[in-house]
Parts: sequence; C-alpha cells; structure tokens
Amino acid sequence: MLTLTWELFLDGLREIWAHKFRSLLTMTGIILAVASVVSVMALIEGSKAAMREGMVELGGVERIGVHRDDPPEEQESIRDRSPGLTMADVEIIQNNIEGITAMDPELHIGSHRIRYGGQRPPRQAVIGVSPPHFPVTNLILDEGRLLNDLDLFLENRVVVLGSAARDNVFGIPEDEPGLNVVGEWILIRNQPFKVIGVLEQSEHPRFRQARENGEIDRLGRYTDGRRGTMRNHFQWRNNRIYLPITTTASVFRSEFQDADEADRSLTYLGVQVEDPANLERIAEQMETLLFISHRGIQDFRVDTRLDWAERIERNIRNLAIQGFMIAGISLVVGGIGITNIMMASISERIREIGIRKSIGATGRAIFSMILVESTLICLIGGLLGLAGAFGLIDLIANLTEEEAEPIVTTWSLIVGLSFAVSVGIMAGLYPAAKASRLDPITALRYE
Amino acid sequence: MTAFLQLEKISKVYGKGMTEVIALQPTDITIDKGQMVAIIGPSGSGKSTLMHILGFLDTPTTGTIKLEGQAISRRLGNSLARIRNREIGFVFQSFNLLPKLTILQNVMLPLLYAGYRSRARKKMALEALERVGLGNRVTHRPSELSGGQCQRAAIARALVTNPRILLADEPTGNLDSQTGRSILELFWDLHQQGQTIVLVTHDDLVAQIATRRIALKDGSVAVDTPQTGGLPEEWTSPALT
Repeated sequence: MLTLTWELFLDGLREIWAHKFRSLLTMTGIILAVASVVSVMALIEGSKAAMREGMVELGGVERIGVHRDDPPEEQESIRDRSPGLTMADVEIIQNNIEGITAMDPELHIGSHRIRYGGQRPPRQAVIGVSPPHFPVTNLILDEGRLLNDLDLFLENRVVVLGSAARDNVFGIPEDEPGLNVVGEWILIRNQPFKVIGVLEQSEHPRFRQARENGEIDRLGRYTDGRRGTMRNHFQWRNNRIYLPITTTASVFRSEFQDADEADRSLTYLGVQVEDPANLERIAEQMETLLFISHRGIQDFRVDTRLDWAERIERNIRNLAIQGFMIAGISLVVGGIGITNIMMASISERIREIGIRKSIGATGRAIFSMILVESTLICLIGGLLGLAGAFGLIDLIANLTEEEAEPIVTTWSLIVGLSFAVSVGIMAGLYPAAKASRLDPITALRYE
Repeated sequence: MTAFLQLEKISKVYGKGMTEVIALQPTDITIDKGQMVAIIGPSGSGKSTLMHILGFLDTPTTGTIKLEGQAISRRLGNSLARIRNREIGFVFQSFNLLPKLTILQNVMLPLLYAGYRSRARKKMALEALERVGLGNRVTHRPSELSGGQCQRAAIARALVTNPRILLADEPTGNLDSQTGRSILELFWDLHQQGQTIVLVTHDDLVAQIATRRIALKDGSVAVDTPQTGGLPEEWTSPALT
C-alpha cells in the first residue's frame, strides 16, 4: 500500500529540482523513448490515413475486383474449357446479384506509340473502359465529353485523354496547359482516333494539398526554389488513354494471340457495391457465378478492397513493430538508468532516511517517497518526451517529403505517457524497497 | 506517581557465538511520569543501546518493554514507527534537521507521518516553535540558524506530537557553554511543565540537571539515585570551558 499525499508529491519535486541537471540526464532515456513511441504511432497513423484517403480517392472500399489468374496446376490442361473473363460475365453478375451499383470492366492492351502531327511519338498506356469507369474510379472531366453507351454500341473511334497523356501527345508546354485539343485526331498504332475529352489531373490527397497550399505547381515542382518535384502517387492515372472497351477489342483484336478469345476478354472487372456491409456476400456470390460461367476453371481471382486494405495495414504494422522494439529498448535502458540513479540518491540520503524514520516515518512512507520520486522523474521525462515527439515528427516529416503526413493521436500521447509512468514505477520499486528496509540506527550513525 | 515506562530484564546482544558482544546485561529500569532522568556513562557503557531501546529504534534481545503497562517489545516495523512518532520525541546531538526543509516544515514532518491535515500541522508546529522561543524564525532553513536555534527547532520537532517521553541524546554536545545552558534551561522548563524527559550524556555536569541519575557501567546499571536537579546559578557546561 502506498501513502500518497500532496506532500510526497512536493517532496519528490523538491528533490528533483535540487538536482536539476542530474534529473535531466536521468530523464534523457525516457524522453527519447516516449518521443519515439509517439512518433512511431504518429507515422503508423499517418500511413493508415494516407492509405484510406488514397483508397477513397480511387473509388472507395465498396469495390470488388475480379482479376485474371492462372488456374491451379491440375486444371492447366483443361483451362481452354473456360471462356475467360468476358463481357458475358459482366451481364451475368449484373443480372443475378442484388446490391450492385456499377460494373466497371477494363481491357488493358499495354503501352503504344501515339502519333500526332510531326511530334516524336510518346508511349502511353491504352485501356478500354465502359462509361461507368469514370465516376466509379473518381476520374473527372476537364473539357469535352466522356465516353457514353452509344460510343460503346457503335464502337466509335474516340478517346478520352488523361492530363499527362494530353501533355505528352500534344507536346504542350508545361506552363501553357489551357490549349484545347478536343476534336483533334491522333494515331494509336496507326489507327486514327478522335479526342473527345480530357480529364482533370488526378492527384493524391497529399499532392493536392501541397498544390493548394502553393508549395508546388501543377507538375509537382516546388515553388520555393527547391530542386526536384513532389511525386504524385496517382500519376499513372493521368498517363492513360481511355477508349471504348468495345472499340479496343475490335480494333486491336490482332494484338492478342488468340483472336477468338481476344474478342471479349477482360483484363479486370470492377464491381461497385451499394452497401459495404454486403461486400463479403456479394464477393462470394460472384465467385460462385463465375465458377459456373467459367465451367469450373479457377482462372480468376475475386478480391475486395478490404482485403487489399488489410494487406497494406499488416505491412504497416510489421514496420511499426520494429519501431516499437527500438523504443522499448530505450525505455528499458532508461528505466535501468533511473534505478541506478535512485540507488545513488538513496546512498546520499541515508542519514535523511534515518532522521525521517526516527521521527516516525514508517517503512511504507519511505517506500512511497522513493517510488513517487522515481515516478515523477519518469512523468516529467514523459511529458518532455511528448514535447520532443512533435519535434521528432516534424523532422521525420521533413526528411521523408513524399510519404504520408504523420498524425499524432490523443491515444498515442496517453500510451507514451503511461509507458513512461510504468517504467518509473518499475524502476523505483527496488530502490524504494531497499530504502524502506534501512535500519534507523545505522542510518542515523551514517556520515 | 505511576510506573510509566517499564523495562523488564532488558538485554541486548550483538552478533552470535565467537563474535558475541553483550551491549546490555539484563536490566530493569522503571521511569515514572514527569521524571527527568539522566542516563550517564562512558562510551561503551551501553547507554546508546539503552537509548535506542528506550526510543523504540531497536528491539531488545530479551525482556519486555511496557508502556503504561502494555508490553510492546515484540512488535515490529511499522508499529514501532508509530510509537516513535506518537510517544517519543527525539533530540539529537547534531540536531538532525533536514537541511532542504524550512524550520516550520521540519517541525511539521512528524505530524505528516502522524496523518494530521495540513492546517492542523501548521498550527501545532507554530505552537511548538513558540514554546521553544523560535516563533519568529519559522521560514528559515537550518543552515541559516545558529546551533542553539537549530537545537530549539529540533526540540520543537520532538515536542510537536505531544510525546510521552522526550529522549535527548547529548543535546548540548555540539553547543558552546552559554547556548548549552540555555538549552538545558529549556529542558528544565519543560520538566516543570510535567514533561517526562530522558537525558543521555557522558557529561557529569549536564547530568546534574536531572532529578534522577542512572549511571551505566559495562552494560549494567551501576548507580540509580534521585538527586535535587535543576540548574545552579554558576553552572556552565565544562565541556567547552
């Protein structure tokens, strides 16, 4: 049992203040440990938040994706029985499963040289999509129009350009982004296509924030004269050229090895779900349907965004554990340092302890006195550590410009401080027990 | 007068076997309420051991101590601390004030361990300091006071819990004769007010102040006689003259 009073607290503070420099040195370990605990937590929190933001920016978690996949080995010989992932699957899923808001099939045909006039032809990623692709993946029109159902039905030779693709193809000077290219014709593998629209630049939230704050320009160059550019993690979206999925299949049919399959085969099928709560159910139903339509061949993989998020979070957690190990080691070292100093402090104060005992201090009172003191050292160290954490976080944020902004949560402050306090208690137990057992006569004689 | 503190067959032996040292032979001492007793003896006579036992800093090897008829010699640890706190007031040769605390805080300390509230502590401490004539120096630290003032503060600290016994160990040993005399006068005043006092000293002249003299020799009581006590006019501590 502890005898906790205000006087004990004041006594502890007085004692710490009497040896200011020594106390500060003692606290260093705790300060560093708490600062790193809080910083690591802030970094984790920041990465998680950045991931979530990024995911929302890419169309939210209410999505299930179907990927082409290699069938298991025992099905290798009969994989031809499956028609593969096709537009037929799109219809089957749409007609048979409740709670789906949009189907977003994609047909990737790789990068191709895009010609326009006499320009040196750049290579851009070309991808066939259907009209829902734009709203579902959060792509916004800048000028012209988007693809529509008629384009798909008529297999029109039209394209929508990502902002970077537009810049590359038309060689637009970086500082003159306003040039209108809608209505121009370009050649993709010598096939003519008419530009009907250009998309707004797709930006990672952190990139956008920096641009809106005026730290960088549209292309990510720093405005304060620093060299280099900030990376936009969504730049790959801006480099794409979007065609009607039907046109892509028919015009570039010869690009595929097997013309029959090429006709309708999809690279990826995105499914947007109305209610995220139904994600698992719909994913399972889709798997069942696809299994039937693919005649039992497992040449696809159904993936929810939540699976994806979980994978990323697991990686972040693993990184965090390493950070915590380091912080934990410094906490232990700091704690040992405090035990050491408390032992020294007791040796110095043997006579004082003797006096206190002779005028009626119980062993328990002495125990509390020492324990409160070591806890106070750690508490103050912890508070300084919290202050230090903000500095450390700033430093880290500056060193790792492109990464996610660290986020300090109240929770991390509480965790950091309680670690410090528990180390203080642990570190003080042995010295306190030792002091409380001092024999008053010996202690009084001690010089 | 009632038997206030009874030591029955008290002995103290340090060590065991070959290294055994008998510090105190089995001894019976009874101290009555209001008595002023001087325990005198050369060093090695067992007076320190006796004082530690009387002050409940140490437990005797054999025998029992009775405080107003209640045996307590076998009690240990915290209950001894409680007895030291409430029943005994210590006055040491070297004052033993805590240098980091003010005089007032020093005097309040026993009350803190007795569990008094802060307001009561301050009131009682101020009263005790007033009693020893130190009411105007309460915010000073021990290093800012003279030896005599420090000893007065230490006496105030000993008195503040209203102990049954004031136990003084060579209280004038570190003081010049003039100051020593004034401290002894203070003890005499306290005796007149009915305080039970045990004075431990090696100094025969200091012992003259007491109304009873117990002389120890080789761990046992050699002399135990009543005497007139009090301070003669021409008395000065010979230690430093």
